[in-house]
Amino acid sequence: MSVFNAMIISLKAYVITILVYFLLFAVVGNMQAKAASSEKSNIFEEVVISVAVTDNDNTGLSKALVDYLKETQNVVDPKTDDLRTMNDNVRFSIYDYALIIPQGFEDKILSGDTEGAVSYIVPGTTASQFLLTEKIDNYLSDVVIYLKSGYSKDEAIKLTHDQMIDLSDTHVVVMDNDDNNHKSFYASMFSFNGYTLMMLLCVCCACTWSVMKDRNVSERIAVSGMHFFTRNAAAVGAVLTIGFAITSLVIVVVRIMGRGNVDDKFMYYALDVYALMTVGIGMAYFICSITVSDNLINMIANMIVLSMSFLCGIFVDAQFLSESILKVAHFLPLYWYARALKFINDTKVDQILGGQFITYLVIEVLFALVFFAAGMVISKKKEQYAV
Amino acid sequence: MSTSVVAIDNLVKRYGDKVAVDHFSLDVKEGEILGLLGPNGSGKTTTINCLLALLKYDKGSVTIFGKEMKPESYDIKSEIGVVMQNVAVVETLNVYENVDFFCGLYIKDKALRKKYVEEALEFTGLTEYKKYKPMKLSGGLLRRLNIACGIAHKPKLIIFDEPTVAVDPQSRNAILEGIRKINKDGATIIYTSHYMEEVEELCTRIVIMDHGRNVASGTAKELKSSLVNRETIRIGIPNRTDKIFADIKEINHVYKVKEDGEDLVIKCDGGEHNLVHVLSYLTDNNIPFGHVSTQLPTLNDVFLEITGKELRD
Amino acid sequence: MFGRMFIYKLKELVRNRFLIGWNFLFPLVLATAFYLGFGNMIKDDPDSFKAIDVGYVNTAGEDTNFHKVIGELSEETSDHADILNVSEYTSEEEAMKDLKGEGGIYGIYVDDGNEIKTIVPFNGYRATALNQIVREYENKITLIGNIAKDHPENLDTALELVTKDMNIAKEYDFGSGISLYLQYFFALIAMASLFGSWISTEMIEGMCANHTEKGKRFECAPVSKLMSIASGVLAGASMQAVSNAIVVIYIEYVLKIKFGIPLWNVILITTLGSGLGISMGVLIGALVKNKRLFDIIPIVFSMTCSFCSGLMWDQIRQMIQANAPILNKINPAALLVDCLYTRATYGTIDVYYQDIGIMSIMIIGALTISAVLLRRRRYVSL
Repeated sequence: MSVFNAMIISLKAYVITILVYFLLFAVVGNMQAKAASSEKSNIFEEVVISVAVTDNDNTGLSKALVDYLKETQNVVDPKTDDLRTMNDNVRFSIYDYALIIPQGFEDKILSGDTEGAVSYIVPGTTASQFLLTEKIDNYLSDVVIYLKSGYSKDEAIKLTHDQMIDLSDTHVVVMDNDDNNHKSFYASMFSFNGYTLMMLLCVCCACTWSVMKDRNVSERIAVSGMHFFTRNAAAVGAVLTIGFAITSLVIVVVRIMGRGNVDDKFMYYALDVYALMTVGIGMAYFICSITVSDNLINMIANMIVLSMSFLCGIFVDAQFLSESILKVAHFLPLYWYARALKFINDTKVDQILGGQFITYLVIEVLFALVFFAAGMVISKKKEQYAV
Repeated sequence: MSTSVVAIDNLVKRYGDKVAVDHFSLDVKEGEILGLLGPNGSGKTTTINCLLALLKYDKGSVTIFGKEMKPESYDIKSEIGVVMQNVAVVETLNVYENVDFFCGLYIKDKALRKKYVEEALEFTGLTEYKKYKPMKLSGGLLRRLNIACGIAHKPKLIIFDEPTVAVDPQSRNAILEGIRKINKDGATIIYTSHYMEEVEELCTRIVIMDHGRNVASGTAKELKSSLVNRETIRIGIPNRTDKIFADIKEINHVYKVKEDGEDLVIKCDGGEHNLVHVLSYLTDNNIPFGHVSTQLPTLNDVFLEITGKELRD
Repeated sequence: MFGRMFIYKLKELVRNRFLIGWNFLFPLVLATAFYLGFGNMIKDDPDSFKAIDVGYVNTAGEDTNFHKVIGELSEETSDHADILNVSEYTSEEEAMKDLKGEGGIYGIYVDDGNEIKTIVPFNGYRATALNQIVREYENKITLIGNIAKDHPENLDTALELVTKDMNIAKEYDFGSGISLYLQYFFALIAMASLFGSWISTEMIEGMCANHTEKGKRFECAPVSKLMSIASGVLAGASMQAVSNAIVVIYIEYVLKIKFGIPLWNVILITTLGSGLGISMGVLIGALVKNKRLFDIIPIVFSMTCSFCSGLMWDQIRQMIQANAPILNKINPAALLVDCLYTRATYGTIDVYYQDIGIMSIMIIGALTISAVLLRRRRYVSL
């Protein structure tokens, strides 16, 4: 019991590490999950683009254009009049589109010189750029055509406006029946968890394990008369307890964060996370068989887990990874964790528990055993050669 | 009369309310091995740190080689060698590089430095380990490296701050022998320790510190001679009578006789051949006796008499 | 003396496996991980607009105007790229089989000659774009209808204008269009540079009597403390600069990700970044008295600054720029990222020189303050 207690107490030294990763998980994971998740809906909804408008003309026509955008899009403050800063704001998604209405805009439109009457800044050729440019072009070209067809300025503005707003009743049917078109909050949250949980387990379990693996401590315990099996069982038990506690805490935190999201698949996500826990503990053992230095454990864990997260579609969706990278990823445990998450997300709840899901979990546990076996071989060799 | 190398006058160092060094004065003469003896926490290391101008002190003055010691007294520092209590070496450099690096802080001439480094390695018995990294050395060898780094530049004044802590007896003897040799070569030495045997064996003069104060100083002989009890004789006498007690008490220099189990404990306040006188009395009077032992006073006894506690408390 | 100490400090650093691991190997591993994750997206931005796969079902029994319109939108012209990729189906049921988004079609137009019904599998940009095409088509019909009713004399002019591309909205061109994902690599270099702060704190630890016994030995030696620290700073900065240069060369020549900046210029900026990391570490070492914090503060400082410069989330630096720009001007990692980003995106404009200026001032300021704090002194306690 004393080995078990000592290891649990040693965990206190890593409270800051645990807090940092939890904070990272809670803040970044939550933001990412909220941005990536979507829900099924059979009612058509237009995408609303956030557009920063700089109106340097302040005339009837420019105000009408701004009002039209306010009615249909999300008009925001550009926060700057510097074009480069606007460009950066657009590129880094502070807003999607920056529209600049120059001085003399109305005069230019009224005189029929339409080319380049307004300018815009967009992050390259994107869907939002295409959509809003189409809408603005359409609006202004309607005004120009009305003006050239003999209508007054006010008539042209009113007709264009009414027509644009009325047209929102186009006939659109949404056939949103498949889960795989959406990523649930839990799938997104647990996806990022692949990185943070692995880091937490690798660092905390490896560091507490290393306390007992330190040569002086292990020799002292070895001569204490405690049976080989008892002391090793206590060490394994302590690490499993730590791993289970951290994993359960993560699951509870996710459940609390997603309390507004109804998802009856939560239990399956939790099962996948527990399977990942075995990988994390196995890897922790593997790392602390290489070194018992906290600094080196941190470094190796960071290198392995970060690289794996990028390769296995944790940080970047697997659909954007190349074929060859995905082939390599098959030999990494996080890939199977991510695949299991996708499987749960895409499959109806009553069809999840079956061969495919269990295969994913078994593969994860097998990886854990491989790491554990590799760690044992290294430990034995080190003992043999007294490294 | 030899010149003064170190002069500490009325030094006071406080840490808040606690007085670490209390009006301490010291004068170290050229060629001396001065032992600074005291229990842990008596203020030895604090005094050394003040002496080296590392610590601010509240009162007093420190003069080395006749000049006031300040943080920027580079001329004085270039003549001082320090062997720290804890090993102070660069982990990533090997033994040779470590000694060369620290020696290089004092000696600019490359050829001379090379000679000094090799001599220091030879002197500390580290030549065969010169390619080793510190982490590969045993505790004793590491201590020797610590010494080599402190003395390689052949300083005129060397301060050894408890250099033999956690060192095996063999290495300790080598270290003490080395210090004697350095002193013989002309260096003045200040040696702090709480091992009285070491200090007694090595130092030409001893200063005993307690609570930051200089409680006694002199040679080991002088310190011991200041004690009332100069020799304790223990003899096993099975058939003791009051007469034996009274007769022994009459022997010259015996000032106290008491029983301790089977033994008779006889305390003498000076003189020579006290044991011979006691044994003569016993044989002359056909008084049977068993085992006999005699014990001369130690520095611990000196400390005990002055402070009322033992050095190793 | 300076040269000797510089060489020994360099030896000491090069042999320190923690520093080599964190400052040199870790950025290389992370760069490789970024490459594996973002490599595809740098070459082919997933956000760029691609023709939408759409099905078309004609139930009118004859060719319609809408069919012509979507036919035009399927072709690449001088005015626009192809917007639609149309597959024609004979019935709605048949088209529905392919209506699955990825790997199929993203919408179906059912055209009965009068009304166009749009069927989409789910909401999103593609659904909105498909609907927008129908809206524009119906809008023009309404527009022509209004003119025919109110001003029939101008109908020909109106019809001519409807088909004419007026190019009313014009895009600003800023020249170089480097991939946004390069931001991650810039932040990675900034992180590696700030890792240099560990080198400094470790160096200060070994040179100050209040931290280590080695420091006591240093301070007992007849050498100027500032000169010792200067040689250490130069050794640390040199090692970090070489390490950064290797990371840059690895990214440009092994991973083949182009920064869009001449190599000498990148190395010059990253060398300045190395100096920044080292000097920040010296300042931390000078300010912090608690030995335990010597390890924690540099890592918290490096990671916080790197996170705020966009290491894990590319938007954050710009969010700070939009809401509290001063923070970006005092965050050394954000300054370095901004310097690289500005140079790559806009060239050598004022902001680029401003970033270099602020970084230089930071280096000088940090070293000056540290020099005052670390100058040879007596300690109150050891």
